[in-house]
Amino acid sequence: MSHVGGDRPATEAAGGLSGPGPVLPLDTEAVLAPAAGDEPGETGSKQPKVQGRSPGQLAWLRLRRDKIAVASVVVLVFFLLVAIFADLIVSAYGINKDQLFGDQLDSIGYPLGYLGGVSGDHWFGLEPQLGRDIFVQLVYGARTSLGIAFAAAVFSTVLGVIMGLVSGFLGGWVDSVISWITDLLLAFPFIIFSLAAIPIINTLITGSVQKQPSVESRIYVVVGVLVTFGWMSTSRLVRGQVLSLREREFVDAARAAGAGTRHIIFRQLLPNLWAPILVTFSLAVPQYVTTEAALSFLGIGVTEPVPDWGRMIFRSTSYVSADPAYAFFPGIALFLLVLAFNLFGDSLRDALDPRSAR
Amino acid sequence: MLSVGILAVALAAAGCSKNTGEDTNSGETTKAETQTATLAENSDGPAPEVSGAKKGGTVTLYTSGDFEHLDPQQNYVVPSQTTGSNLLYRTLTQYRENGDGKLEVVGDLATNTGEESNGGKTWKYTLKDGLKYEDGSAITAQDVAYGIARSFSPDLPNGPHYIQQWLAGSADYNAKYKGPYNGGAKVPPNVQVPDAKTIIFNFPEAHADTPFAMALPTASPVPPARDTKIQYDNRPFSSGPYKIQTYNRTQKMVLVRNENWDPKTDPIRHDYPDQYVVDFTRTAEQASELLISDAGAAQTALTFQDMTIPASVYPKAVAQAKDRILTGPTQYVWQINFNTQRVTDLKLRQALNYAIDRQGLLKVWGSYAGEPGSTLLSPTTSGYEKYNAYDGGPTGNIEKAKELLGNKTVKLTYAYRNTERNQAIAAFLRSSLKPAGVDLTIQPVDEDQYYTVIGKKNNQFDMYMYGWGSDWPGAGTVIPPLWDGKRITPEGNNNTAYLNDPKTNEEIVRILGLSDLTEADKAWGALDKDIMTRLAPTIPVIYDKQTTLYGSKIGGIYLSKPYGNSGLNNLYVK
Repeated sequence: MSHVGGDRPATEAAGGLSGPGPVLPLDTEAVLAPAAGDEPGETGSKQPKVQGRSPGQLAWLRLRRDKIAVASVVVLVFFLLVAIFADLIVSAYGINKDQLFGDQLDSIGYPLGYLGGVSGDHWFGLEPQLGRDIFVQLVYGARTSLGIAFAAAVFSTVLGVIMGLVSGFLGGWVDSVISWITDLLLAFPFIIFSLAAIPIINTLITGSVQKQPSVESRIYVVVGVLVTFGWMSTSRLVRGQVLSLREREFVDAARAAGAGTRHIIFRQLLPNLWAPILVTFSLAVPQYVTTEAALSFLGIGVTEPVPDWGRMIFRSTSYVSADPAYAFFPGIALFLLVLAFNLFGDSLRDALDPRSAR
Repeated sequence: MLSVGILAVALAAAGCSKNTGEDTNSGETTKAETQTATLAENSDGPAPEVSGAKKGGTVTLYTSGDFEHLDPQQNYVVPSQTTGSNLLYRTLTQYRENGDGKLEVVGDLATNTGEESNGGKTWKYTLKDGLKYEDGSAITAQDVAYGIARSFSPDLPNGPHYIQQWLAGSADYNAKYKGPYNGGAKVPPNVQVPDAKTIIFNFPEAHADTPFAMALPTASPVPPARDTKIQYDNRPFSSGPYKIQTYNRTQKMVLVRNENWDPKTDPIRHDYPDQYVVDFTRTAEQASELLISDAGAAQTALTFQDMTIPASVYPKAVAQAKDRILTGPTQYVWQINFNTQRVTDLKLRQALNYAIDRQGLLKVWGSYAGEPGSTLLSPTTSGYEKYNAYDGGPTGNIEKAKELLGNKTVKLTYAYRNTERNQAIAAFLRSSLKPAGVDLTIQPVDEDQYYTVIGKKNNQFDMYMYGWGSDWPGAGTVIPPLWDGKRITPEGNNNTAYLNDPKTNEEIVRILGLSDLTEADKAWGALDKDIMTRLAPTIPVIYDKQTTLYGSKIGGIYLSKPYGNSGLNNLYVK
């Protein structure tokens, strides 16, 4: 363990995940642990060995002890694996994306058998009227949902962090302009704006009202809109943290040592912000999953032939009374994924910020 | 967690019974039937009594949203056309139906279906005696001429344009004469009104279909003093058995008996119910649920073509109200057109005709809302002849298609109207044609722009769904607009297959010139088959079908053939 005292702030030395007090004061333990570790070995083997732990290690420990966190991670990893290995899973399952089972529907298009056609061949049954296998649609739909949500979360977090750092650290007119943009964008009601904007953006892409973009470009549009309206909360959070951090001694010290703005922002301030950023990221993903589903539900998101949970749920609402199983499976999948993400996000915050522990 | 609980309960309630596929079919299978309209000898009133009918009661009509146009000269949508023509205004001729499938064209305001001379170019109509408007004033031939005159006005562009185009002798009917407003004549060109009872049409070309065209609301009388131009939508002046008492746009309309309508002059209409209430505020789902429950006002209610029972309610409707479903073919045919400018390979078009899975497609469409179709003409159109030029069986013949394609893979683009149903159909087509070696890219087109987009000659799509219904039960309102290559313009096309085949074009001109309707019907039927066999420019897939509910105390309801809609002429409350 390196020095605690001296001129330099403890954080720099501690490195790793977390920083000094003000952000997420991991104070007591964070300070005590290295202090105890200052006299290693002296006490010998009689006493239990006191081990030095970084704040990051502590957070990790707390997270591992949290049963809800572990359970939600298991669920998340499961969904991630499903999304990543969708092709493998479906080929093992033995039904391809375009296979139709019209012969297993009754004359008006409802699946024969129990629970919307659930059987050994069709684990989750068949889509009414279309006759596609719901399991296959769900597995590929996981890829769409998670892919879009992760992409949107990564981009909006990066954008939000950069905007927050810049506006918080530089202050002055830069801060005013960025805050003004943030306020402006926060003032938009997202869904209403999307309903208005997405068709216009689609028109701009194709250059004509009468053309619609391809499915791929629609996905980019959805991600773009989610990012455009998703970075502000991160930006505000980061800006607030930076405002208090930039007055701290270690920043002055770095400046006195001749460090440039970029060095201070990215090497001095950013490492102290990882905890809140991670938490917002983990809470942003489920939000994007549901928002993406909502956009598809409203008919402005991803279209056929790309499987999508939001669209499945939208379609299933028409059949709720006659074939509730169709609404059940995509509904449960979306519910589990979002719940797991949210619980994980909560646990992560608890782990990184012991003051909020119950 | 609440949502899961509710879902689980719902699952237990509805999902855990086994669907064996036996109970879901509505008992009666409506066979598509050939319908030939005949010109009636006798146009005298009153209309034959309906057995069991009695006067009294209030009938409620559920329609999806307000009528866009109730103005007779702008009225071109089936629900408002039915309401207008059955209840509010009379026309020179009209259809007489008894619900037994027999369809006659009779003189309505006129004493007969028209006296033809000059080789079918001149048509003379004489008005009956004792015709009155709702205020008791007489209906004159001048008012009929004025009604047609105002349909020329650019301010009222939304009605059918047959009579105007025939009179003007060109498709651009109001290039010269622009209606009676702003100082225009009160009688349109090529129309003569020698006295208050006579109106004579001198068309530049022969039109054997004139008796049918005169049944369009275009040919209904409007007294110039009552003409409020575009405001006429709000209060058309009644010549029929009912008049408007109140009309709250987007909410409801109440119609009461018109005491000045004389049943002795009317060979078609009755006025059994005291009142009609048109309710514009229900969705198809709500209306169907109300009618299934059959309580209160819903006992004497019915819906129109635009409120087809939704798939979500259909099983319940069959289980609980099977004998109150009005179902039968409408005049619409849905077809998957090839853009023949792009898909030039006849073998490819034929292959897809073999490969199409009509049974599967119908399940996606809503199998109770259509029948598998294979012809250009609908079974309700005169001249319809049943055939399937490329019979691949009910679910299609993939092997035959592969053989025609030489086992190659073909890339095609299918454009669809971006609605839930059409998106599902697109996904279905893509998946079902894949085994035949067709790689279909499905491309959504904005809902409001769809017909504009595919109506452009230079559109970039290979295939798209197109629906067309006859304006009267004659093939002359189907084949010429859809398949005459000489009518192709840069935009706004109905010939969206862009078929320009000289032989077809010539034959269309020849048949349109025939003065014998029976002969013309036969020739249209033969041309229908010839186009499909020789050119395969489209895949006819679905004959549209109305499937709506009505209350248990409704009597005298029938499916009107020319409108493909619930007919109101014989309606009474039990």
